[in-house]
Amino acid sequence: MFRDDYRKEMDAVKLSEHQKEQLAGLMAAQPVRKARRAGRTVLVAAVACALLAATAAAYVTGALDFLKGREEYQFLGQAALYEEYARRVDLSDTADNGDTLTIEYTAMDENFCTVFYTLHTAKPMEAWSQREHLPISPDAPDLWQAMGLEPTFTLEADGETLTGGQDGQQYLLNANTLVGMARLPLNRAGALVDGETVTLRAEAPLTDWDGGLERAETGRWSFALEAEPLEAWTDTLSAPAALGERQVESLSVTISPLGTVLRARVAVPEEYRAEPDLWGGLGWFVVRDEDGRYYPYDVLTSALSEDGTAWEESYLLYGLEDAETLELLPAELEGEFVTINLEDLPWQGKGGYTFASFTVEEGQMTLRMEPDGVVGSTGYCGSVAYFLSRAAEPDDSQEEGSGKLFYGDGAPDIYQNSFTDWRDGSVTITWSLDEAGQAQAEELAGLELYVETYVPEEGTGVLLPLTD
Amino acid sequence: MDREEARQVVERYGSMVYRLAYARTGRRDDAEDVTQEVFLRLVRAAPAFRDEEHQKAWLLRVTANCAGDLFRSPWRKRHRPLEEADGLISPEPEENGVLEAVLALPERYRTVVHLFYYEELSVAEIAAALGKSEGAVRTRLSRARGMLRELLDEEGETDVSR
Repeated sequence: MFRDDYRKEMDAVKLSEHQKEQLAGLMAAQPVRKARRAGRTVLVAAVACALLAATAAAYVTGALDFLKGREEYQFLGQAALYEEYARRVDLSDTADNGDTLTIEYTAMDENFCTVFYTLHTAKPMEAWSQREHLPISPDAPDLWQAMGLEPTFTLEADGETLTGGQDGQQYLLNANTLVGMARLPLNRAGALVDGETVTLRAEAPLTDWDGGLERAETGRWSFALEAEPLEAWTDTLSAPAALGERQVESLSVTISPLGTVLRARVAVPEEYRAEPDLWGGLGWFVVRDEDGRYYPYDVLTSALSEDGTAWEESYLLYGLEDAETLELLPAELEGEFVTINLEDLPWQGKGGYTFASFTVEEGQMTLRMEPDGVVGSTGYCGSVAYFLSRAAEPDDSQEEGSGKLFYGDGAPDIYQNSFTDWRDGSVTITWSLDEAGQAQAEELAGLELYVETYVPEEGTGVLLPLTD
Repeated sequence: MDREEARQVVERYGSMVYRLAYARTGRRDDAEDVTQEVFLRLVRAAPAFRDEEHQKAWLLRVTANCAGDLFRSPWRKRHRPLEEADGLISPEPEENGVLEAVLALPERYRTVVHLFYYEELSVAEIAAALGKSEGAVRTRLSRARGMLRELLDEEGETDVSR
């Protein structure tokens, strides 16, 4: 059995007694922290605040307007969408600790509730570059600095929790002000009823993950919202069906203004009930329409049903407009490393995403990938394994460390952010560049890519007719 | 932290950290770097752990982070190797063995495979430790199993589902 074999082989991987002694000696020689490193923190804070002061000037009329001015937000392809659909609510609540959360805008439909908010805290928040654990550079991008500071939101009605999980963007305007958006997927289509009063709850994150901060000390807020979901329509599979070896108990697609969501309930076979994780939900699959166009997607939620007999999953489908029929097909995923020269872009392998463009600008490198052909989850659209300083020869296999940029001893840190445009599923990846990084980027001539390709298993899919 | 206390912590968790670092990086020298960095961070941060589980989760998370699972890999900064580190007794992976197959996986899959199969963490615990969604962990596990099946089938029958 794999687990037993792996354990047996890995048991042999261990520190020697000599190494343990050396390590203990190093640890004992370290000064023990008595208090926070005030000097260092102040220095970093000064830098961070100086940086953020410039962005604060752009914060004029609220979170939505602020976000609209951010390049990263534009990458998401939703700026125009929320311009049209977001509704100003301006609700504020102050927690026991004095922190005030203001919900400025909301947008709701049958799949999502999105909130735009501003958080003012009594105590300063710490940018990631100021945190004790794994601090990053003060020069790291704003999105990285504010990572982990966002409140956790949930929507409730009549004792039922309507949402599960969230994603979004947030920025520190200054040490006491966080502004951002959070998108909450609804657990079921149409969970929000027009005119119903629902409760939006929010909790501040436990940023001190040493365990020294109790939940009671963090902010908690509650808001009463009137639900005004935008209209949508849902198409549902009429009967259970087989997707390859998987039994799909139910399948539906809900097309709504804020995003199209595919929901599925997939049975867990008896023999996997003890370890349902080993079976999973829909597994590897692709979605295509009657014209053979494939639609990229991202997983939104995946949870085992309460009785443990099925996986309940939801996926965000990109670019669905005029299809009459959707077909889900099980698929295999193949991957390979490919070395290309920048001058060869746009480049497409066996199918799937096209590596459309790569640009180096002041302070940033940007890769754009566009869905074209057999695509599936955007999480497997391909990635950059190495940045190369020299042009690649045909069938070139880069030797360890040779010609690799941003690699090895003394490599400059670069910070990666990835954004998927909701309109078509195109993916934009950015890497920040400091002065040293910029110098290396100027040498860039090629990329070693990890390219992943979906191979559908024809004839074993599920058809879902769509209506207008 | 006095030496005896440090020795006890290393004795209890040293190889756990080293194995995860090795599974993630696939290199003994990198695993040494990561192990050293993790335990020095432990001293510097002096976290107030609630219990052993909390301490273990902290160490796994910091190890995964230090090994570059969350960011910057493969462009991470190299850490200073263990001074005078020699005489490592960790053998090379057994030829055609399952460890060799795991190390042949793309880097991002190795951490979840190790935490699931060696540390026997649940998907939820792995997600919490790595700061990822359960869906993302499940997807990586599923993909890793498929690749392992292919890798191991070339050498013989091995049931990757267990």
